[in-house]
Amino acid sequence: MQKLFYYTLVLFSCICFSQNKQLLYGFTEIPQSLLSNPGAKVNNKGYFGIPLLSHIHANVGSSGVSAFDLFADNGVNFNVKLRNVVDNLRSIDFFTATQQLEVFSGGIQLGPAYNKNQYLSFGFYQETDFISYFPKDFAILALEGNQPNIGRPFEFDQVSFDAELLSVLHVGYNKRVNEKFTYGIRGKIYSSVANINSTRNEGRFITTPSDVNTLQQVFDLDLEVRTSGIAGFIDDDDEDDGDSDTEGFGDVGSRFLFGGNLGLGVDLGFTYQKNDQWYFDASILDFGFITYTKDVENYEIEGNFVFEGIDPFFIGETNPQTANEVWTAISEDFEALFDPDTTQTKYTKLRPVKLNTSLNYAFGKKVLKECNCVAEEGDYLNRVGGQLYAIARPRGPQLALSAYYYRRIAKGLSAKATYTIDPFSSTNVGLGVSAQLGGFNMYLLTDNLLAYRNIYDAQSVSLQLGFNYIFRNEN
Amino acid sequence: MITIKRTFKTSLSILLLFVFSCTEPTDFSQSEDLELLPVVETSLIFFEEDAPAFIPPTSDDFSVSDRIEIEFFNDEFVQDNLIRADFVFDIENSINRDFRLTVTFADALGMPLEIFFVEVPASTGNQNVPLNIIQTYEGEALDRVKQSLVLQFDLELLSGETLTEDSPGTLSLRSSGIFSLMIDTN
Repeated sequence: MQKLFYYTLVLFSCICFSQNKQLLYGFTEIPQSLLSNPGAKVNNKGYFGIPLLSHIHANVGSSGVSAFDLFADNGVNFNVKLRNVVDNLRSIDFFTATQQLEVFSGGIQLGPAYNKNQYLSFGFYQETDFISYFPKDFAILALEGNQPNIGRPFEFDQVSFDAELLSVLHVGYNKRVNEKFTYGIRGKIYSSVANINSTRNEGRFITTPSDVNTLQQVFDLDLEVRTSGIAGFIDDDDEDDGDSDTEGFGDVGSRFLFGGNLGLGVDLGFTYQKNDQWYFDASILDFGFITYTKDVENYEIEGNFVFEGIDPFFIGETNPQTANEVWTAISEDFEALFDPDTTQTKYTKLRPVKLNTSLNYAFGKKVLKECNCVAEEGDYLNRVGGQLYAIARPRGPQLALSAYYYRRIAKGLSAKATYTIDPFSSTNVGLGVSAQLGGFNMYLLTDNLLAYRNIYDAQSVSLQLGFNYIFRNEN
Repeated sequence: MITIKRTFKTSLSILLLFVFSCTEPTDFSQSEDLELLPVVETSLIFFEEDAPAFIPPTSDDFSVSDRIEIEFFNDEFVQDNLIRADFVFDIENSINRDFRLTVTFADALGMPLEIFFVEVPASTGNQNVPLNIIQTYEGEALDRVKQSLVLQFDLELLSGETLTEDSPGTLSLRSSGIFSLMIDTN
């Protein structure tokens, strides 16, 4: 148990991710920005991603604690620091993890030669998504026990987590309707390799003064853990178990390639160019679901248990059993309460839907040296804007608000800086660069630069990078 | 050419940012110092009986006993982490007789490993006499308690005035166990 606690602690302290891609959003030089808004304006004839290298995304963070809070080598006792962390964290604080690896992707302009206003993009990526809220009540219970907390309920709805490993095949269509309006839609097929979630827990444990004895312990439990694609692995490890619930559910490789639990989803987006300088855009991503039917194993605990002690000695009508008979019955009831019912009931889960929107203002055209005048042709070199991001999570939406400055530094080189306020930090400064050398495009986007002064004190760190080959428009 | 230079410079700057990202002193091995000290309190035995319940069925003195077979102390987690046990008894006696409660921690064969007595003084004029007793086990005594598999309770009515069906008063007992744990990574 100590080891489990230790590893959980380290995991929670170190591996925490978010899904916000505030740097990539609207950075249209990078083809993968179409994944954050299928209705973004496209400014290339086509592209293909360098396989396995076109989009690598990892992002670590937590909403209430950094590794440095716990592991700073500052002479303060570790248990004091742990106590402070637990005191400061709230039950709505969370640890999330998202990692994406694009296997392949590509895109091509479509339409008549005189007006190629449509764009088809496609790709295949692998994603890991994890979230766990901080079960503060049970951290307190582990630190203090119930004795100093008589009358305090320990709420099981604080136990909420979801982890998913899946692959996504997607095809997107983008159309520039006119100079002002562009829209896009992307269809997705999800193939879940493995899922474990427990997001609908209810009930409580409480110790209160009793009418008949000093105290009573009350367990009121309605707990559920749903898994898919995990029980089979455990069975496989057990050589004696010839049982094959996983029949028809292939190995990990085939699960990635549509042998997993399948689902469907859609991304929608648009861009509205109000005038030369102002535009507004928005997208909704992963509006979809996965139905889990293969290798499903769910565990449920439901029931009540009240323990007030044992009434010994005086056997009679009101007390017909010996103390040992009462104790044996209580022990059996207690064990039965915590013996989970295992079911294979299929389930459907919504994907964590995301919303992006931004308002943008472009300014500052290139100054021509020859005439010391502003170039009439071409795009503006600078852009500022505000972005809002939201993601649906088990215990309510999470929001992030960003302000950004974009600059086309030179032909083929542009950069974007963001300042983001989110549950992880109110001083998240990010910087991204996209560089084009010939047709070769590379980009590197990183979050929370201020935290690089002491990386362990970062509550979130994000990194996205990739390499593409882009067929550029001549203009 | 300028573009390539700029691209190179910018890319290098970002790379350097990663290479020279700083860390202040951290020590992840501190987690080995982890020490949890939860205190768990749970109900034990209770009863409330009026004086006539203590009338001996024969001429002998009144005594009752009961026992519970417990595996709690034998549990590996308890063996490793229990560092102190307090047994708290809240007793109210309004019967004009002395009582004695004997709690015995015994092994599987019934051999006593630890015994403690709760002496309950008689009430005077059937006035309620509240009594709070805490029996604490630590160290070697606790080690003996941890070996126990049977918890035996004996309640004796000590000598005094005869009880009849009309004798007033009540003896009530409430109790709990407070178990202090020390959970560390060793």
